[in-house]
Amino acid sequence: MISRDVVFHDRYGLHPRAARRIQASLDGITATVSLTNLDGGDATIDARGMLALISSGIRTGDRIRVSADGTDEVAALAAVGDLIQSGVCHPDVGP
Amino acid sequence: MKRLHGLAAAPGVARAAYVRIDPAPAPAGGRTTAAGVTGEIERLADASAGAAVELESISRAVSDDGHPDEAAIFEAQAAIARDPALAALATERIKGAHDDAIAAVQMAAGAFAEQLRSLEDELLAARAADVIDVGDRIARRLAGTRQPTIGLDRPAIVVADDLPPSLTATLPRDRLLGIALAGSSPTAHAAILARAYGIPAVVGVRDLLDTLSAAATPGNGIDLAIDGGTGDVFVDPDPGTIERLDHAAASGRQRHQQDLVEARLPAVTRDGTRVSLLANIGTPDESDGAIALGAEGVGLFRTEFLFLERTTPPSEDEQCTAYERAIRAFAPHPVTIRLLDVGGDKPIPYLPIAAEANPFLGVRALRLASAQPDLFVTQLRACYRAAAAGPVKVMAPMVADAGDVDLLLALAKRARTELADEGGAIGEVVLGVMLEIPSAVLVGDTYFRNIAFASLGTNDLAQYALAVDRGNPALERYRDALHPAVLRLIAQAVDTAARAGIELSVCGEMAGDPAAALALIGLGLRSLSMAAPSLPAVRRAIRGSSGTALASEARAALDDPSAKTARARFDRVLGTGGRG
Repeated sequence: MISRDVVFHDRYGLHPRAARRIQASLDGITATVSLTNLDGGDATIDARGMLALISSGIRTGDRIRVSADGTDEVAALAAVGDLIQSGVCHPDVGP
Repeated sequence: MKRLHGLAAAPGVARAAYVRIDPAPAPAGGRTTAAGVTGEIERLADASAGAAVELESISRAVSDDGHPDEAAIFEAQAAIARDPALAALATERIKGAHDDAIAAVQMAAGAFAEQLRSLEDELLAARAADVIDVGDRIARRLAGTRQPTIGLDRPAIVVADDLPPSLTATLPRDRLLGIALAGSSPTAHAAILARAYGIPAVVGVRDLLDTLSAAATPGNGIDLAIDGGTGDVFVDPDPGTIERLDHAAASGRQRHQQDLVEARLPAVTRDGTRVSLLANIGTPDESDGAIALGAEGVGLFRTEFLFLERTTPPSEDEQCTAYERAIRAFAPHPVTIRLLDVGGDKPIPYLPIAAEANPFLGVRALRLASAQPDLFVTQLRACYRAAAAGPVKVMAPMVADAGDVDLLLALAKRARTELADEGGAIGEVVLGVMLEIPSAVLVGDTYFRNIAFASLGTNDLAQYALAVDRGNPALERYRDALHPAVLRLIAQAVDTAARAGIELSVCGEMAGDPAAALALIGLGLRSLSMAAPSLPAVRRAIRGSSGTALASEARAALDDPSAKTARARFDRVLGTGGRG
């Protein structure tokens, strides 16, 4: 298993569309992938679980540990990690 | 007439008869027996899959209609319908409590919705509606009832307590003139879809339903008027209000249409002085709107959005992606990226800046580079890489003299050398400075030859030249950048830049103020960058003016006794179409 820490940058938090993108980024990947919110009680959720994602309460600025386990874990980590780091749907904007 | 007030959710004015929508409640669940458990679980799986397929087809229809972002709402709902977690919770309920599939799926959706509401985040709590909506859709399939749709037999404003996303998707766009909701929020899907479709909407109008129930239906057929830009709702509006709203709607539409048409006209004075008009942007998302209004590139791309409100600095890749988006949108026109401009006034967790009594006279912007060179080298590396996608200019803020320019050039050289050694694709970057500290203008002749361009940041230039805090409202009367002292600094910058043969532009608010823009052109500026909404008025002012007249007015303004006199001069020019 490998993991990578990223900061969640969608300014609207982990809303349904962002969750769907995270889910879709794992199409064709078999590794199990989980997200741990290091700023939110360290709860760990399945990166493919739509309801788990949107009820995770992850907000912009939260540090997220992405963990992947499987033969294509490197690709899984890159897909989800880069997507989260890039702001998913709405890259956050300063005042 | 009765006037109510809600939240502006989608701009525009509508007045028409209203149709009240009370969505039929979702079917009620029941019980099953031990023998029925397996059957109910199977029925639930079928109905969930069916609901997902339905939602995916709605998503495709919305996308084909030209709204891919809004289509994603329904794609997300389809994913909720397919989520094994929903089925697992419902199945547990069927097995454990002998609920039938309808009751079980509603209970499961309700539990997840409750979890979302408990997050105390308004945006995520609003998404609880999505989960309930999906649960109801599955329940309706189980009960064999049709999904509700909004049918309108005539053009009307739709009134409801709230509109769930699935209902909003079925809105008949040809007859839907407006939406007024007693509940909901501007971030709810009904509001998002209304904005995408250009339908005026007001939400959160408390008392709306009661007021409508109490109001007698008037005979003239017009019983509701809404202004989605202000949040006003008028029940049985009087003729004066109707006229005012109609007029505002017509002139707003006309003005916007006119602006879009005129955006294609060159910004050239009546006697042939051509001026380039560019946009200031704060995120790549603003690109399309600016291009529609005729921006010939970006004169100021503020990059702070990448750096603020986070705990670690943005990576080079993240920056590169954001810059590329704007560069691709504007190519072949150039995008001018301003290096990070922050200081002690906006604390950043990963950038330790000691507390300062005067952050605007402190360690800010390029002055951070001595202690934090890597921050700027990373940003410059992202700029060089993004430049492979189109023309890029980079300027440093808070430059005081030749020493700061040497620092900029050294940072840029390091970034370029590193990238060249690594062998990745890089593009040309044109380097320049912001002229916002008076000293940088006064000694421009000592370093202009080392750079390709300079851009006047008139807000700070005026603040520093006039000792007027930009944020202090008590100093309003000192703030006008048309102060002759500022005009003289600008005139000197024009002269020095011409001698050194470098390009000079303006990217402060002054460029977006029509009277001040004319003064700048009179002083010899030929490139103005401003907030995109200011482009139409400035373009119009330029096209109505005479370059020769502006030059003589500007010369005279240098000797005016006050900003007030100088402004009156250019207001007059503006009023007479520059013929004076």
